[in-house]
Amino acid sequence: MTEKILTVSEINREINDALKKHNGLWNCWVTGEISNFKDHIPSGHWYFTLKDKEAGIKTVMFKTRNLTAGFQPQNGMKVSIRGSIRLYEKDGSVQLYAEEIYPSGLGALYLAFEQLKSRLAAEGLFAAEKKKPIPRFPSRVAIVTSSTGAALKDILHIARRRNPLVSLIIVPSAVQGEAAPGEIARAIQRANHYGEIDLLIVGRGGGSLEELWAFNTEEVARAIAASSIPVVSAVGHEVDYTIADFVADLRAPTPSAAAELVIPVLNELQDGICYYEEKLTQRIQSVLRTKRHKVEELMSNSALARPGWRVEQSRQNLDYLSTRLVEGMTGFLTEKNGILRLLSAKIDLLSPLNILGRGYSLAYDIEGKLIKTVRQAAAGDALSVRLSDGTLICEVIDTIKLQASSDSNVKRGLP
Amino acid sequence: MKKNGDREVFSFEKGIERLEQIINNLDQNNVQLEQALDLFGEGIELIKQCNGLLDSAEAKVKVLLENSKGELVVTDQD
Repeated sequence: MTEKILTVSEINREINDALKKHNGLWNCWVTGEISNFKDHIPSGHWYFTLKDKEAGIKTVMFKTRNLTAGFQPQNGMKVSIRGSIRLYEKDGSVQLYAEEIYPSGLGALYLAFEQLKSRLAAEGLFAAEKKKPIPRFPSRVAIVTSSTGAALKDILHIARRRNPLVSLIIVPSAVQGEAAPGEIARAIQRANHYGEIDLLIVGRGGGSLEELWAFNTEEVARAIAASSIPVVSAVGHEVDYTIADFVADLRAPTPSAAAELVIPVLNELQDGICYYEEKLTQRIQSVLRTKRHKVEELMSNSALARPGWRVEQSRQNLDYLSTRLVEGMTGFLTEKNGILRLLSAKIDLLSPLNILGRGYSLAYDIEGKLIKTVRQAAAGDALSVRLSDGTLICEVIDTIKLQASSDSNVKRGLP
Repeated sequence: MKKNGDREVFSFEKGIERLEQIINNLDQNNVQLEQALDLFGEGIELIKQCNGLLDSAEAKVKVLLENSKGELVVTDQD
């Protein structure tokens, strides 16, 4: 045999090399229907067969890729996939290794949407600091939309109901079809040139992704970004997100919601003014009250306000001091009085007159000498005896000396 | 355009903003009496102007178009 015999590994490697050489297979778009879908747990890789009426190809989308898919594939779903065709050498099957996946038909649109979105985001068009503040009380609101659409009717109706005094300026524009992006962009510019406009609503009612597409174009995005009037986007239904929503200064979920968000209710404005008027009056009254209190306080405290006050105060001090003085002096005197009384009582006790009061007497001889012993007098002598209340003149009849035995008693009585 | 100039002098929004400021200033304890009275006077004037804006505003629905020469044309909507 001239032909070389290859092992399975060798032939698979050859096949893989052949596939790699084919650029169209290495990076290609494939469209088809999902069948036999398996979300492998725990790896998170997706395995399914992509098929059309006649054929099928095994497809793998690794977790790192399918995380950004933005939707969950289901059997029967038509999808467009970008990826590469390679051989899985273990079982020799040719597989599509998916990099990106989009619901079919819309695939191209989604792709364009994502690409434009990331490009404009990188340019900073969606940055929060670029957002202009939405005026709280706009008096002139312009609406860029179709003059025949339901969106305009909704906005006009709600705006009228909320505040019949806000002027509305319709800037008509096609909102779907080939001409729509250019018309919307020019309408935004027109509103800016007109001046006098406080706020711009740009939008349309609900529709399919294709119908809303104008609001996903770069032309409209750039016109919104360039507007010097704040822009509120109001495209489709609540679930629809367009590039215009990301660029706009405020996204309203629907056109009706835009009117609700930006048109202030007239009654509330009037109530607001009343509220401020009330507050203002309250505040000035409170200021005046505070000032008056301050004046009153000063009046009652100030020496200036009552010139006599200081004198009165001095007088009062003086009164106080004199009272204290009298009290002190009285106290002092009372105390001295007590001592005096005590002393005189003591003196009384010592006075011989006091002793006489208790029944004792003093005897003097004719010469006035105090008789202290019987030996100083003899019978017939005249004596004067001093009592407490007078004197007796007496004659001594006899002298009797006490016995020696009672000497000790006498000695005790006379120191 | 002239109207635009007028609006820069006084707008409802600016009026309300200034009113809030005035009320805050009146809340300060150290506000001088004369200053307080001036602020109050200014506040009352602002309220008059804000009310005036609401009273005088005439709601119109207009359509802004561009004619063939590229000029802006405003027409009342029926």
